[in-house]
Amino acid sequence: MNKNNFILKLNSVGKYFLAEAGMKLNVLEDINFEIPVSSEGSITSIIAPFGSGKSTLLKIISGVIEKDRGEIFFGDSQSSNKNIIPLIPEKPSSFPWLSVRQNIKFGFNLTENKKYNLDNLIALVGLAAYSDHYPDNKSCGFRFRISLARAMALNPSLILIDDSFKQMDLESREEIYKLIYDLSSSEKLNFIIATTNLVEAIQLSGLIFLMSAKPGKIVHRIETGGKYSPEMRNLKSEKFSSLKSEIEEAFQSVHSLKTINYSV
Amino acid sequence: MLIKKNRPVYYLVVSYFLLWIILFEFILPVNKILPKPSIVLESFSALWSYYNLPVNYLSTISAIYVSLFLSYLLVKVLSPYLKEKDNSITVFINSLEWFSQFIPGIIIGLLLIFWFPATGYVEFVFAFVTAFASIMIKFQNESDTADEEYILSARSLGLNENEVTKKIIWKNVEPKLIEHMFDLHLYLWGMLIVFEFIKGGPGLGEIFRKALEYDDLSAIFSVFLITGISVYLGTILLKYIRKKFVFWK
Repeated sequence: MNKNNFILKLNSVGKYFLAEAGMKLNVLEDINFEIPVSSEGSITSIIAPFGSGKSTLLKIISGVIEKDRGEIFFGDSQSSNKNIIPLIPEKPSSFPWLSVRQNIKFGFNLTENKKYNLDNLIALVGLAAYSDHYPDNKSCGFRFRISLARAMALNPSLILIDDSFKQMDLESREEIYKLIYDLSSSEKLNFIIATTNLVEAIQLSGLIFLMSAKPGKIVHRIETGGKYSPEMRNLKSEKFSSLKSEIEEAFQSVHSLKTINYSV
Repeated sequence: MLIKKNRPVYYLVVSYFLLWIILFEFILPVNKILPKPSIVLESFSALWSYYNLPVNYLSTISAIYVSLFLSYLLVKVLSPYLKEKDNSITVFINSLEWFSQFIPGIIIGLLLIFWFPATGYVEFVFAFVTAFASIMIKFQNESDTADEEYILSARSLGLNENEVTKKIIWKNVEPKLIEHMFDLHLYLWGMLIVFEFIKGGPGLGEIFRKALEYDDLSAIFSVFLITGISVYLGTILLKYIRKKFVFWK
């Protein structure tokens, strides 16, 4: 049974880097947000301009780098592997020296808590026909699927995706959106996606956080009413348009958000 | 593969051989520049018996390739330790390397040759230390440029620093290390032959020395050909390893 009603909760998280002159450069300031537990799996987006510190935020959540201030809580979820929060970086990082199968097995070897069978997992991400292929020279979408399956092999409570879709063509992106939605729903997986793409965030997510830059700060929280809903996928729908306007208005009130990609 | 890539160069090399055969077999059979091809062929049997080619050849080739292989393995095993540049091995090697900024390597080599006895063991140690230092420095330089995505991803999967170095950074830089060995093994060939030549230890350099003493041009030329073919085959072998076992970019 769930003890907490959140998957992830950040309380006043902050991070600074030391600039060359020895001055502290605030990258993240007072980040507060909570991702509620969802029985159907959740997709949350953090939309922010370039250089706002969203990658830093994901690295902190993942435990790759240390925060300087605040607290992070991981709530109870169906997964018991709460300490490992895999992060899929901007360039999907399937290891080129391992085949698809070996890459995913790499993830399996890091955990005792196996939820999937290797072959099933390969099939789940749509790579059953390519299990002996190597990711070198393969498309971004292909490499993303490997990284995703490798992350899933650890049976984590949360998977972080750092703007990995922006290097994919539109068709691949649509396929990957669908895959993420399907996995989130069927496997009850929770995703946090950091993105600069407004449309992507609206289409995919049930919950969106807007983040300002310099320093990175959560400035707005929007519930879309459901992840990957048909209404949100229809760019001409009224709901999509009103949500887009709401986000644009929220962004216009903060000047640092000019690099948001408002197109598809 | 080598031939396909450098076809014009190989045509030229073949034409040099043809020129050698025509010029020195038929037009200038007696000269002090290059030996007659038929005499070179005959000298192989003399090399075998008189110059003790099998033992000398095995001595040089084993010192080169065994030291290359072992130093590669040792750098791999020590990679988590060597990745940090302030470790004692690195500081020691860098301190020796500091001298090489001002003193040509051959002069340092002469000093070492003077200090140590002429045995196959010393020759191996020379080759091993040179190969280890070279591979270690290459690993350190390349590990600084390892792809951040792989490292980030591995850390987020829960790998500790040692595991990241062994399983991710090493694999990431391995193709460049193998490519570095293409040059390194040629360097080791040159270094060991000079060592054997000066010190008179077992090896192909010893044959060169004896042949020079006896003014035996055909033996010198034969060992020249054997060395060239061996280096060529060594390069082919390393390229095969690169293509077959370290195939990623």
